[in-house]
Amino acid sequence: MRILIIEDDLETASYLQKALDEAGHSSDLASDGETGLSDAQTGQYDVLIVDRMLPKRDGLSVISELRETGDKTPALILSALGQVDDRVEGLRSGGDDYLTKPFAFSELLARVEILGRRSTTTTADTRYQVADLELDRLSHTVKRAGSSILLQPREFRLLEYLMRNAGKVVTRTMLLEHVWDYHFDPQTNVIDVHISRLRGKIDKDFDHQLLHTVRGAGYVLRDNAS
Amino acid sequence: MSSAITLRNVFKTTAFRISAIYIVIFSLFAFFLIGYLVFSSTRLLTERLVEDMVTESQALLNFYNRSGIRRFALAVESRSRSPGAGVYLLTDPTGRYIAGNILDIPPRIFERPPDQYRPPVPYTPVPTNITEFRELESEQHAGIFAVRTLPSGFKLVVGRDMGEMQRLPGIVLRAVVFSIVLLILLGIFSWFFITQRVLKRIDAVSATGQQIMDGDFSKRLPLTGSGDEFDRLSENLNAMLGRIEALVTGLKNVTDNVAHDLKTPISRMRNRLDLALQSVPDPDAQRDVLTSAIEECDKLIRIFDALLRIARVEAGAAAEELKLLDLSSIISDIAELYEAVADESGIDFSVEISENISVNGNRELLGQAVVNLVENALKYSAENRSDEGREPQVTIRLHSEKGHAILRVCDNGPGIPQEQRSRVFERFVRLEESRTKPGSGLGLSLVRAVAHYLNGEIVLEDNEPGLCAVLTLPLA
Repeated sequence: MRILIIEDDLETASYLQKALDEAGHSSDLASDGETGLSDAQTGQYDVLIVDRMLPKRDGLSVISELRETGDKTPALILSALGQVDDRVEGLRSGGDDYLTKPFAFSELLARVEILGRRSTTTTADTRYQVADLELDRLSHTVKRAGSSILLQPREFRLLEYLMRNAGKVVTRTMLLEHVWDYHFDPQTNVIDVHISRLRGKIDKDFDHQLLHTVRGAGYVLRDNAS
Repeated sequence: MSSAITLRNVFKTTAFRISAIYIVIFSLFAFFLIGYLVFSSTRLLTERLVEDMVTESQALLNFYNRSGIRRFALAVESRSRSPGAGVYLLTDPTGRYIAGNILDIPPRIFERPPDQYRPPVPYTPVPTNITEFRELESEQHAGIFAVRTLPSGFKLVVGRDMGEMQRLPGIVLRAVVFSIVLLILLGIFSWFFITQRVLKRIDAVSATGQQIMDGDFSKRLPLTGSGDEFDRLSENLNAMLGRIEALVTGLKNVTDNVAHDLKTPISRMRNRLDLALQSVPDPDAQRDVLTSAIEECDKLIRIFDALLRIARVEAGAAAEELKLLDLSSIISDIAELYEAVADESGIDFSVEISENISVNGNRELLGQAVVNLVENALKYSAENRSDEGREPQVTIRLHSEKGHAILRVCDNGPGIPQEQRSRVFERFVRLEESRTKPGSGLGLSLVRAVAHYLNGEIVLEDNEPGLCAVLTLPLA
């Protein structure tokens, strides 16, 4: 993917560029708001990573300017400001996701990859399929290898989110946000427990595992056999 | 700033400006009102006089028609002499004086149409004594006149003196000016005394304010107990000062806590990294050190975030507006989230939630607070299993009572001794027994901050055994 990083802190920026490069993406850097805005407008990027506090023009105003001119490039906002109202402000300005500093790179990567994918696929699919696992959103049914699997509503939503982002790493924080709609930080391994329950239903009695744990990052639903 | 009330200070005060504007408006209004009254009454009186005069002239004419010229002349003369009379003149056809008390009158009145009585015309009355004779030179008389021509050609003039009428406006004007001047003078004096007192009170407020700004946050404004606007203002300012004092103290507490409780993990981390640097590098050992350093950093970040959140909620600066929330569904969601964890750990998890309980709040803050309580309950109830072979149990109950929503999160763990129960709400307080367990000691601080922010309360009760955290919030 082609990524534009708008960040004035050189150390953070070079860290991001190196890490993204290692993950197989190409990235460009702009060190202030004005340059960032013009780069975003002239270039064709899959995802923008925008820091809030920028010289010359702050991140949120760059994004809202882009949105006003009809540019829908997904933007991930990066900021040390991490309270709920800061998030809300960021998302209201047109950002698609919000990550607070300091962050784990795996978290950033997972979110960026999912954001980038949005621009290539539609979200209106009613059926998801990974290997022999099928999920029908309209009838709320789940089948694997032809046989029905009974899931609780919450488990269904969890699987739905994993399947919608199949092949991409999904972090615990993302799951908490999108499946439970909360932004807090749990002390216990709440998400892990729910994931293992889900695994018990969709993976355990079948020939190969689809729901994998990615150490230090999160989970991914993927058919490794193909 | 001294409290000397100098003239220059006085002109600068708002009190002066307001009073001045008020006096000007009032005076203008009074002036116009009185002017209108004088004008109306003058006109009314004049009309009455004219009517009177015309009636009299008609009556005299009738008398002439009945009695003839000689008797008529005598009648005119006698009327002229009665005190408080009008003015009369009877002339022969050539204009020569026959009877009456008019000495001199401009001939043009004879050329007026008979029903035109205005405007007043100057005339000279016949003086009745020496004094009036002398005054003739200096006094000007003016009157309104009705002129009638008798059939024989004689001319009758009946009139009324307009002197008093014309003097009236002048008299009134003088009275008004005098009153206004008096009003202004009285106003200035009484207002001077009043503002003295008012300015003194304002100066007292300023002086206290200065003391507070110089650093003494315990000072408060004096109240006179009269309950007036100034007292109310002072009360509100005092409440505000109390709040500022609490915030400043809170801030100091936070920085003290931060200094101690955050530097400890940082120095721990530093030591480990330092040691790793010095010892012979073994890739696995290094990996372990680095991993644990990152974990320590993450913990610190979480602590910082929690501290910031608590500080912002306590300062009332959580900024999100309070919205109507379905507390029942929030608690249900959280219970469902943690039910899985309880199940894994073999903790008996019992949930009883009354439906449709609504409160005004902030979903994230409330959610975080409840999660803190539930996580605490799960953590401490699990402790019991090893200690005394008790089945660990956590219960969550939500119901409403007397206008409040009451959430009870209970565990059957070691509980908290009565005397420690208020301490645990402070930041970073970990009871001795729990010092080594995971957790930052901030969970309950946030719960308390959120409870107070939403006008509720958090109380810890004995579950016998264990602890019940009771969160009370006003119903929406």
